[in-house]
Amino acid sequence: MNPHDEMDEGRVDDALESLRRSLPTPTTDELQGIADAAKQQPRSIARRPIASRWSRPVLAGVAIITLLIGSTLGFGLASALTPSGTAAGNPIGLGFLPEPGWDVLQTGADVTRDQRVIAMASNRAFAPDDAARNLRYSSGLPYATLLALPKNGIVIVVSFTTTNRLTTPSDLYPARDLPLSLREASPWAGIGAQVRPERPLGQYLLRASMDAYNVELQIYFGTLRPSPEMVEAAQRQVDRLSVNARAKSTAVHSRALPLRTSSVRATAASRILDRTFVCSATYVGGAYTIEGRGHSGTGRVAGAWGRPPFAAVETGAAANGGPRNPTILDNSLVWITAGRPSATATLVEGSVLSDLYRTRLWGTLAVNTDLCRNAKKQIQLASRGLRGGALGSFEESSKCFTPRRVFMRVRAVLSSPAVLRRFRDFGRTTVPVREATFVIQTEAGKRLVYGEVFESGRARLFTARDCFPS
Amino acid sequence: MAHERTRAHDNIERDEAATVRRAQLGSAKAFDELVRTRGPDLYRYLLLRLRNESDARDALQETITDAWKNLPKLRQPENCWPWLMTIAKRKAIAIARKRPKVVDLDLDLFARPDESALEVWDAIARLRPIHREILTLRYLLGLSEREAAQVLGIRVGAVKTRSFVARQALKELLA
Repeated sequence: MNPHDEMDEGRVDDALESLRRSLPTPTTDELQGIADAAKQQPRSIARRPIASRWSRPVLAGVAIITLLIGSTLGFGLASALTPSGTAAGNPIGLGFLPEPGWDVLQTGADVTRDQRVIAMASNRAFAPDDAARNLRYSSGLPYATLLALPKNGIVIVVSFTTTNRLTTPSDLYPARDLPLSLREASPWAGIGAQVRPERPLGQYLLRASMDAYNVELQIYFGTLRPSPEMVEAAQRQVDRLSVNARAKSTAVHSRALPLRTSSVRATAASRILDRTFVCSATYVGGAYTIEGRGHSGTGRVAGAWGRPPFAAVETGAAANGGPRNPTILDNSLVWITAGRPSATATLVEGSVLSDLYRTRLWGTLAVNTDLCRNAKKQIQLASRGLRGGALGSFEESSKCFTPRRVFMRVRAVLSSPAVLRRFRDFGRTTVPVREATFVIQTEAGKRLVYGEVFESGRARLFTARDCFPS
Repeated sequence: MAHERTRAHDNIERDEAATVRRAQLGSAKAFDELVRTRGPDLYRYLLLRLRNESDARDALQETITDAWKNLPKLRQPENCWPWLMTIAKRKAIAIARKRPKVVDLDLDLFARPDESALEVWDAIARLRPIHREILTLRYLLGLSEREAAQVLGIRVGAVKTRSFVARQALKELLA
C-alpha cells in the first residue's frame, strides 16, 4: 500500500468515526426505562441442551420417520378418539418477574421428582458467589447475600417441588391460590433456622400447594421488625410470582399487613437458652417409650472434663432416624452436658464408635429437630412428684411408657451467647454449658423425666414413679 | 481507530459473557447492565438503518423486549452481541416494511451537527445496501469479522471482500 492509499484509508476511518460520534444515543435513564419495560414481559423457558452427538438434520429426519410410522400405526385413530381442545397458554412457567429495582435469579424451569426449581428475588444485588454457585449446586439459599443483607434489604426465596414427594406431608402445604398473602406467613425461627444469629434477620415462611406443586416461600428481611413499607414492597414482589402464569391482583396493602411479629428471644444469640418443644416418641415392641439416663462428671483436668456431667432422654430404638445415615444418637430427644469438655470427651461411651461422637463436635447441648419442633406451652421446670436424685459416676437409666406426643422444656445457662445451630438431625450448640435442665411431660401435664447438670460435675435425674430401671 | 474500537469490544465481550449468563438465570440487574452496555450501539445501528429516530426507538424497545424474553434460549453467551444485532436487524426490517417506502433523513437526527458527518452519511447512503450494512457493522459498531458474518449470515471471507469493496467505494465517494 503506497503512502497515498494509507492516507485515504485514514481518511475513511476518520470519516466513519466522525459519523459515529455524531449519532445521538439514548440516555442512561432512557435505556433503563426500555429495560424495565422489557422486563415486564414474561420470559421464555430455557430449553435443555440437546446432546451434540446428533445434529439437528439427523434429529429432524428421525422425527419425521417416527411420525410417519406413528401415523400409520394409529396416531390418526387415537386422535379421532381423543377429545380435541386448546391447551392453556403457559408463557412464564415458574418463578419471579422482577419488580422495578429488584434482582431475580432462578434455577431451571422443570420440576421433577428429584429436582426442585428455586427462584429468588432481592431488592439488593445478589452476591456474585450466590449467582454463580449456591443457586445451582448448594442448598438454594443465597447465603452470601443474606449474611450481608442491610436493614432495609429483602430476599425472597421460593422453591417448587412436586406434590407427590413422599417426604412432604400434604398438610404442610395447604391449598392456596395466587396472589399469596404475606399476612399468612409465619415467623420462622426453628432450631438452627436463623441464618444470621448475631444480627437476626426477620424470617418468614409461607407454604402453599397449587397446580401440582408444593410452593415454599422464605422471606428474609434485614431486620427482625420490618416496616410496613418493607412488607408491602415484599408483597409486590410476591405478587409477581408466577406459577404457570396464574392471574394476580393488585390489592397489596390488604394482603401484606399486618405481618405477624417474630420472637426475638427465639432467634437472637443469648447466654440463656430456654425453649419448649413438642416431640414425637417412637416405639419399641409396640409401646412408645422414653428413657432418661445420665451420670456425673469425672476426669477433670485443667478445667476440662474428660467425662462431663451428662443427662439425656432417648426414645424407642437406636438409629431409627431420618433420611441420612442413621447414627447411634438419632433416637435422643435431648442431651445436656455441663462444663468444658476435653478434646476426647464423647457422648457415646464404651463403643468402638465412641471417637465419632466427640462432645465438641456433636454438641454440649442438643435437641432432636427430626423428632421435636417448637411449641408454646407453659411447662414448669420442677422435679416435684418424680423419683430420683443425684447421679453417680456410673451411668444410670430409667425407662417410661409414654403417649406418642410429649412436651419438653430445656433451659441452659451458656458460657457465652449462642443459638442452636443445625447439625445433622439436631439443633445443637458447642458452647460450654454452665448449668442445664430439662423436663419432659405428657400433654396432660404428667411429668415423666427431669434432668439437670452443673458445671461443678453434679448431675441429677428424676423419673416418674411408674418408670422402671433399664 | 476502528481497530482500537474492535479491541475494546473484545474486552467487553469477556466480561459480557458472565453478565449474560446471570441475565439468563433471570438477574434483572445483569440484564440492565447488558442494555446499558449494548443499547447505544444498537440504537445507532437502528438509526442508520431506519433513518428515523422514532422508528429507531420503537425498534430498540422491541429488540430489548425480545432479548429479555428469549435470552434463556441463547446457547452461547459469548455470542450475545451478534445475537442482539440479529434481533435488531429483523426488527428494523419489520418496521421498514410497515412504513412508507421513502423516508427522508431528519437532519435534527445528529446530536452535534457536523458538516463532515453529514457528508459521510450522504456518501454512505449512496452505497449499495450490502456495502452500507457491512460498513455499519464493521466500522461504526465495531463487530469483528466473525460476528458480522454471523449477523449477515455469510462467510467470513465474504465479509472481508465486502468490507474491502465498501471501503473502496466510500473512499471514491469522499474523494
